[in-house]
Amino acid sequence: MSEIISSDKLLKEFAPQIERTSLVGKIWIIFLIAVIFLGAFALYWQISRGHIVTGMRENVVWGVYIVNFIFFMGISYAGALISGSLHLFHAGWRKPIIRMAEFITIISLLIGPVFIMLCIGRLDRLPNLVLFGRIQSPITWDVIAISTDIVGCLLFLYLALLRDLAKMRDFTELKVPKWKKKMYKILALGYTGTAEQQIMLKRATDIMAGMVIAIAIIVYSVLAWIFSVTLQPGWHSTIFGPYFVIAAVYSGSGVLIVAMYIFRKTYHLEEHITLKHFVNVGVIMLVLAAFFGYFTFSEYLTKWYGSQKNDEQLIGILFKDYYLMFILSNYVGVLVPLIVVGFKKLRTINNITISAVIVIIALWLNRYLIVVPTLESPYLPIQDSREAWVHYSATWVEWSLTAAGVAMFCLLFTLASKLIPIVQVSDLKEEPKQVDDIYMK
Amino acid sequence: MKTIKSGILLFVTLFLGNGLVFAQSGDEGAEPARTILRFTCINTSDDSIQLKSTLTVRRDEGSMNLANALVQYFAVGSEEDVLISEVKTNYQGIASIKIPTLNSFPRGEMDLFNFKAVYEGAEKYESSESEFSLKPAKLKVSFYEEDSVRYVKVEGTQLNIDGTETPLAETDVNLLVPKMFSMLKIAELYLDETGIGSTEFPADIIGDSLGNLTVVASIEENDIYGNVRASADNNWGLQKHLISPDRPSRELWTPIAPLWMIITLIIMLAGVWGHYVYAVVQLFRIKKSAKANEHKS
Repeated sequence: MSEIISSDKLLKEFAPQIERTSLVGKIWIIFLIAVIFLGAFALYWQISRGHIVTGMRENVVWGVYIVNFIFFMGISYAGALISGSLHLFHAGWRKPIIRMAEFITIISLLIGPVFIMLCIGRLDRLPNLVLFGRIQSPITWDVIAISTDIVGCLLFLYLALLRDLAKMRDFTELKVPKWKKKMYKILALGYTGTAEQQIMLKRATDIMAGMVIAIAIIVYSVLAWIFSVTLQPGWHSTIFGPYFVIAAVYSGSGVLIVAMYIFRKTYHLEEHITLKHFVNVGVIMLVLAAFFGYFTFSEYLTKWYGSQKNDEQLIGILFKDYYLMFILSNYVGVLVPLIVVGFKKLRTINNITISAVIVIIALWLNRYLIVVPTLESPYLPIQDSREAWVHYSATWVEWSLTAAGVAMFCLLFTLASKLIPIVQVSDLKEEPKQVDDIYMK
Repeated sequence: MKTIKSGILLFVTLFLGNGLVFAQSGDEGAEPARTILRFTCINTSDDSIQLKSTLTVRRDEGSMNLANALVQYFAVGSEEDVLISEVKTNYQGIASIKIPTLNSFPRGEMDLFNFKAVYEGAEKYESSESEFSLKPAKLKVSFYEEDSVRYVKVEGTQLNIDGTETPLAETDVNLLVPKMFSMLKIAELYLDETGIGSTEFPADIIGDSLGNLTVVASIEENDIYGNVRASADNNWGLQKHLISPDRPSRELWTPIAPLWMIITLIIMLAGVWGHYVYAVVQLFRIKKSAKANEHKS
């Protein structure tokens, strides 16, 4: 019995997003490419003149590049955890949003490691990481973990796409170029949705859903251990693994809400992505906000109470030089989602999206506060240290490349939505429409 | 209305967030920072005196070396101070010069030279100064072997105001070996009334790959002679081998990883990649089944 039944109505609804690009869409793509070109120029500037054009120096050797790396890897793992969990727990409401979580996973996983490359002064020595890599080094763990994760997430995404690819292949009314048709045919692997094929696909997808959750936890913990195994004030912490994982999923839930909001507006998905979805992901964000707040409090309380010289110095810097950032990251970033999602009257799509934007900014700042102030207050002051080396301030080169990274994320997301429906068509059924007001009652 | 409120909230947040990363520079218009001048003089074995100052600036986050600051050295006499030289500090905050011991600088009580280092300050930094007194002296280090036992011998002399040299007597001398971060004290000896002292050289000091060592004899912060230093080289050290090629051990810091670490990694990777392979096999089976169905139909 074929699973590919007449779902033409749904496909017809989503076909325009794949068939054509509106004028606004084209301007958006040109804008993103322009930002990427600015980043390319900054990269040329950095390579031709060396890392002296960045704000990184002998003391503060990591800056916004590492912050971006942690941030993008975080939202990637969040995407994997959210999509994997929703799949495994058969959450019925997940269907319209799970594809976005999967795209977030892959796209940010491809962009994140690029920022590490930008940090490396001698890229010609990069092969040494593989040729002479030591298993004892957390950097080696990270390389192994990220490459394993990329393969796993690609596989999971492909499994999740397979039924939609088959639908696109069989949808004769779709007006797309021949190469796209051919691509759908090759990638669909001849899947027709027979009972046997469904069982095999479900088995593989279930296993990979479990794997991406486990790998996401391990990989992000490994990333946290790069910091926590070092004897640096603010980094040498036993709770850094779970703290990073929670922060990652928290920021990822924010990115997912923003993506839901943008695609809902752009592709007019009001019928499929409703207030219910925003509230459900918002509740996930609320729970994570509470955990994130708890971990943050626990982390700083123990350091403050211990009163070790360097910890005191670090906390002094955080509450003096970085107090605005600290408040926005660890107070506003926690309290806003708790209030907005916690109070029923405030649960509107706009409010939840705004709190998600705040969460994203707060979590980026949180990573900045983890990386930079610690390097500004090391246990062992470097000999021949100059004042300019101790205080970090990112340059236009770093900001341009950061903007290019964000633009690349948006561009790849946009292009991905031009290849395959942003909503998982094969899982959707033509259900009675859910109206926001009905849900609110 | 909700949209407007939400927009204002977003704007305020972004406005607050914007520029935070940039606004981490130091305090503008703050009071001059306190400077500390650490001044010391060292009698060296080449009939010179080294005048050395380390200039640091005190901040809330700790001490910082102050570079490119002008330090003036004076010989302090009974009348007015005589300017010896002006030196700029390097990036370690150090300003150092050497002056010959035989000179016409005034001497004070007990034949002591009195030197003064002065930093006049700047707009952002307070001024500071420090004095040091010492009598010219020198040490000589030599080595000898007796009945297969190795010894270090140190001879000390002091230079009097009339130009004569007399033994530097009844004084403790430390024997040191320079290491990567600091000086390792290997022995201590006492200069007798003839200004000579000797001690057995330890057999377990690690040198370079050929066993070469530099031995420094040092009198530190003596009330009369200040600091006196001299050094000599020998090859009595143990030859340094960073890693024994015959017995590689599995440690965190050696090239070979501990077994538990390798086993854990293999189990984890095998577990993960095993599941990947299983998923890929399912995809191949789907393709195979599609082909079979195609043939049937």
